[in-house]
Amino acid sequence: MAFSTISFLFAFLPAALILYRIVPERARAVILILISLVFYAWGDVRHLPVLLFSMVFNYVAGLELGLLKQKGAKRRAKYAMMLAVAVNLFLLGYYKYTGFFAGSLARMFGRAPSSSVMPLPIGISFFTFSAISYILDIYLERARYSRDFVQVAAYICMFPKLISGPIVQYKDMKGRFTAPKMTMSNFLAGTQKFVVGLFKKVLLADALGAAFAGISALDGMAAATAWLGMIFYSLQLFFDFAGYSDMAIGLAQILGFPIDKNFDYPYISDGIADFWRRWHISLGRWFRDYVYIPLGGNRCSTGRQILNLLVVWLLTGLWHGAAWTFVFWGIWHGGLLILERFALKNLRELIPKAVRIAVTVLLVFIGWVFFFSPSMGSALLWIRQMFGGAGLGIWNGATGYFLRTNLITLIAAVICCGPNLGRTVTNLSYQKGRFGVIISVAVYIVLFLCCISYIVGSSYNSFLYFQF
Amino acid sequence: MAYSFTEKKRPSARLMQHRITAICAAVIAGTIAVGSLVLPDRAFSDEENRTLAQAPKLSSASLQSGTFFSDLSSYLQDQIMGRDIWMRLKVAETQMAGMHESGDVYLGKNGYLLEKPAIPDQKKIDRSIEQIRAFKEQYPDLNMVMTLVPCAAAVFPELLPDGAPVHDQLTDIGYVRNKLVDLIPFIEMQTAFRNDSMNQIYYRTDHHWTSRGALDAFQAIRWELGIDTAEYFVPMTVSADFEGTLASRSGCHNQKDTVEVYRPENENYQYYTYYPDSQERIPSIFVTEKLEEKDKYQVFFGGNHPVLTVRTTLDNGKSLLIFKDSYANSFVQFLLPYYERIVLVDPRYYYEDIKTLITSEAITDVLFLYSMNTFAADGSLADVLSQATAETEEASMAAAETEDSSADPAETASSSAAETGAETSSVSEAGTGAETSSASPAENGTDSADAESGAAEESADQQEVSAEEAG
Repeated sequence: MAFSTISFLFAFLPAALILYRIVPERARAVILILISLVFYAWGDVRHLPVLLFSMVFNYVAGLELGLLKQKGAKRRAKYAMMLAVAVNLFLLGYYKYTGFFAGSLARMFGRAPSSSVMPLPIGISFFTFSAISYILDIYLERARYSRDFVQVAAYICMFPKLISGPIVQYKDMKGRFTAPKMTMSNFLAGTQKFVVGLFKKVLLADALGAAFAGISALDGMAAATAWLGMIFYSLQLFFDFAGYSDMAIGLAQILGFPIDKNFDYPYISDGIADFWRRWHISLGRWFRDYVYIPLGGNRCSTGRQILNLLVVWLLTGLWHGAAWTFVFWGIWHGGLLILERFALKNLRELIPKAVRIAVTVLLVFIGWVFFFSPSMGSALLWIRQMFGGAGLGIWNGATGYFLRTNLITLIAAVICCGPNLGRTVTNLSYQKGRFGVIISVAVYIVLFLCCISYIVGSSYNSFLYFQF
Repeated sequence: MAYSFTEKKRPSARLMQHRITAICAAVIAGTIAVGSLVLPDRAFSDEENRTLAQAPKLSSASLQSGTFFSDLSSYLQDQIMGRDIWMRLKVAETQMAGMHESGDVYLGKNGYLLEKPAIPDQKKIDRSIEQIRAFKEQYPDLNMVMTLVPCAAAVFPELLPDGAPVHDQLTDIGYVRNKLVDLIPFIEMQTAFRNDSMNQIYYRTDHHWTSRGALDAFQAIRWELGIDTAEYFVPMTVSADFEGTLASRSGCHNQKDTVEVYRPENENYQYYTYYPDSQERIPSIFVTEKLEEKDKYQVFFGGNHPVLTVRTTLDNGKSLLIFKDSYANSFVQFLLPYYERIVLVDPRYYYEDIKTLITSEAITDVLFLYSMNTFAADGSLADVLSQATAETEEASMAAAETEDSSADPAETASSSAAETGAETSSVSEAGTGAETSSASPAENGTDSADAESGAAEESADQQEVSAEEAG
């Protein structure tokens, strides 16, 4: 169940919060597990057993691994860790990648790939990575195992981050579930973050998404339309994901679990490395802590570092989706990072910052073309159309239509890409006394009401009985 | 001192802002949640023109399959407090943000709402064309005419928001025309519509054409139907507050349409419409009660029916079969002065035998009248026609053989059905005795049997089954 739905906002969330609030602190973790399971079942009841299996299996595996560690049986601990990680990866691979690899193999042998698509358990990429974090934190001795099933289960399934992240790591969450406190200041700040996230998702991302869908449906695009489409998608993806993360972080904070931010104005990065410090921070951290550093990280030869980076980025690409376009997208970012770190290190300093930002954003946006295209062929076709490949010139009527009808959304989105708006609102509420407070509250409330109208409105569909 | 004062003040202002925002948000959300829970559920939404979801029943089966949760979500969505108000707010915001689309409907100029032309399903179109050709080849003596009505956005692109991209539907229609025109006269409508653009051809809030649009189409098509004496038709406004399907779909409710019906100046005939589904005969093609309802376009025949028959007191031997969608419903008002019989078949809901219908109703003319949006996406016309063209000989042989076996269910069918059957056969004998004389006696026998069973659905089904068994 998505956060930006009527069911969540006006039924699940109020009921869950009241329930969570009235039980004693010691019982809250159990309640959190129960409401999280209802949350999961509401969206995808048939795969609830997958989630339950992950919770139970990783608890048991963590127990065994921890006891082996305690006994000092290094070798056996390693095997136990490998087995546990393998089971988690198998679960992910079975649902997410079977079709991809079988299809690629079939094509390699000249057969048509089977068209049956396995439905993916919601959030499996996220909760599996949380679970692996638990196992590896014990193995790498960043955290102790837990004897208490509730602690592990609540960590894996807590609903704010269950289906779309952020991918919190166990070492950051350990021990927090014993008696979670709901404080007024957490509630207030969390609600505010949630409303901001809702605004990003509903008013910006969904509107940009509709514009992008309109452009994708065109038979052919003038060059400027293709550029516009790429920009719409890039902004949509950011606000969709960042909005979702904001809502998740806000909810977690309300429940008493502050989580680090997941996005930090990525579209003002001045380099690819900088971009990945600002985009989906929790995923980058996960790959750094559990893949890159264990592989040797920066403390090895240049050749080995390049290999490590390629491995990490190949996996990052595959994590986002099982298709060659995602593999290419991962390699694209990995390659750019390697170039930036090893070849262009000194050159970077000579370029003014504004140009660095512009180039970075352009490279990232071109990467998204591969991200949104269903196949490599259509991605290349899109890029060709960005340079007039459709023979419709640079600009036509459709370009004007999409630009004009989405101009306000576009401007709002671009402003929200930078920190200035947020700063202004914050300053308003800090400095200008009562008047400033009223203004900033009014902004939030109007945004919230607009969000509700859009959420209700998007569920509006007339049933065209005897349509034609 | 001043310094420490601001230090103290800053966090409290921030906290106040947080506090008021959070409390307001919580109050709003809580009010909506409680309000939706407490207020009675609505059964029907006038604005959306559909029944609303009701509270789902909890059972272990629905819980396991997930339908309980999806039904619950629909229920919560549909019964949210102030649903229509939120929707109006959304449309207002959309327009304020400079957008010209809502619910996949273009908010066009002069208050027009325009649906997007359908992207055709090429396979379905080609199959329909193939079946229409086969149908004409099977019935070369029937005078057939075809037209496909473009949607408003295709004929009047100037009503669209500037630059709004639309699929070129006129090209699609031209494609169908080129594939058929050597066999069947095919009339394109855009010129006639554009020449009459000072009148309203399409409703502003509905996807249908107005009666005026249908009249223009009639004038463009009548020569091909062999109608050379034009009656003068007089319009009459029957409703001035029609909000059609596009208003429902977009949520845009700031326009109302006028519904007109036409009657010929000299109505020197009488007629009735026979509704086989209710077995009623009504001396009108208009169902005025529908003007009290939301969808006022249903004033024509009360909406779509699988098959309808209009009989007039004229005695000219002309009997028209129309394969149609709802666009034809408002077209028939102009045909009344010219035909003894008009049969409307809506292939989307029609599961009976066309061959039988053609003989029993002594069809002389056939009109294919569709909106392109339906034709582009619907395969049922091809289905119905393919039944008519497939293995005619064998089918009629099989039907003749099973005549005895089907006699029992036909007799046990309700008496009114039997009456209709008798009525049908007697009229066809009287009206077109010359026409049917060419048919062989065996075929004649099948006809009357089919006409009877046509009225009683169960027996028709039985006959179909036994025909299959025999074949």
